[in-house]
Amino acid sequence: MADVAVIDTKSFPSPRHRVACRNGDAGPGVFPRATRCAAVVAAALSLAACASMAPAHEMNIFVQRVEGATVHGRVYFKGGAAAQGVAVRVTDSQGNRLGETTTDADGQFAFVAKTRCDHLFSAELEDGHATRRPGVVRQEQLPAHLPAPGQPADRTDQTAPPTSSNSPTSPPEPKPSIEQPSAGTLTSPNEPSSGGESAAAIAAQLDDIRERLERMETAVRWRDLLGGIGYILGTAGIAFYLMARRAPQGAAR
Amino acid sequence: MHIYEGVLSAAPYGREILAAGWGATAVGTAIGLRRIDIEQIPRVAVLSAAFFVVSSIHIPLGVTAEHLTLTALMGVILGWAAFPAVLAGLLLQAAIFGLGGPIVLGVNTLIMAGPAVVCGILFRGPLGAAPRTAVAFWGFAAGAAAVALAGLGNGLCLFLAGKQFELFGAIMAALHLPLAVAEGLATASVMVLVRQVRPDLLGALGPAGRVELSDG
Repeated sequence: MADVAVIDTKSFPSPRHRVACRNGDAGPGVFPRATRCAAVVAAALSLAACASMAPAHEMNIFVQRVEGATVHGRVYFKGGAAAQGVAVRVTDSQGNRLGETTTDADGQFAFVAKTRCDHLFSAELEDGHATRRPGVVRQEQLPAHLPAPGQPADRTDQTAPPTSSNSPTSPPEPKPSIEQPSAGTLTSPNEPSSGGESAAAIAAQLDDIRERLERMETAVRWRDLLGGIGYILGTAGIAFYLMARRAPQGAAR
Repeated sequence: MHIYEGVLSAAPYGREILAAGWGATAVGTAIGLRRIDIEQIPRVAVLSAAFFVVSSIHIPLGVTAEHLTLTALMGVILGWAAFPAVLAGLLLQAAIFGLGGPIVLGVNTLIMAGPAVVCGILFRGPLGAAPRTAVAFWGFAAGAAAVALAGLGNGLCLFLAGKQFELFGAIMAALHLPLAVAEGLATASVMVLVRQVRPDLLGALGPAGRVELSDG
């Protein structure tokens, strides 16, 4: 009987629990110190958590808008910090290389599409940090006058510099595209052809909302952390059960 | 310190590294699981949960952001059982947050749990024998060494896989050094606390709590 009690109390994870269990009416000399220690740990953990819940070393890429043939986007670390001077690789859906650009100090990049096909934007640092999902621009979002991948290019557009200053060979004004962006893709209306300013304002607001959604998706959340702890403690419980079943047999032998 | 899913698979010798990582992790986990007795289960669980939480909380560090790991603490208290603890934490991180992934999990576990075991072997003796005032020093050394070894392992894996790793030196110095200091400070403070409330966890002799327990 005494042995059982000893195992039980020793197995409790925190010293506070052990003390509290062992001495139901713990003396004032024992309890305060344990309580104080537990409080210090809890305070330190919650302080650390509150200070910086989100930023991470995982990179995300986000295509903000398509203006004519120019694709604007941003590369940021989890939580929103800009990824500066990161090379952004552009490929088509088959993985063929279409070009490359670099982010500026705000993590912004711009790329002028030369062909009308799906564009996938991804970024990678040399130390293994990389974007998990590519930023996607569907071919429907690009102007109709661009040549298809197989055809020879009728223009010599160059990759735009990351800053907003336009190169001399700036992209042509978008012709009013016949195809509308399909509803399934995460796209904003990129042709403020009718409605002018209000459409542009709505587009800007939509971009903002999309970016917030994207950040929410990638943020670390309390419930996820608590869920993870639950899994670990649950596994420990199962391990306890299995070992406790095995223990009497071992003792009997 | 995670290597991301797909980074190694695309490298010339990536598959070999991935396989080696899984192999070493399997061996380490098997040894660790065999050494866990019923009394160690809560320790493994609590430290695994602490690792999971702490390494999910990222601290901004210049352009990028890094996180603490407390692997040295795991190594000193758990020994080889750090392998299953780290594996569980990383598995959950991969499943819940998408950090790392199932294929690269073996390499990532090795990168973090390997230094933990090494630090456990190196520092458990000094920590147990150290007077209370020296615990902070050894704790700092253990924490910093664990991060340095993990950073080294990370770079080595990418290098061996044939991945261009030009920024190796710069990143090690610029990012892992402050991280090692932060990890060292965190580990030292936890070690001091553990030494006060459960000195037996650090292998110290004559713990008062132990004696009290056995006569209960």
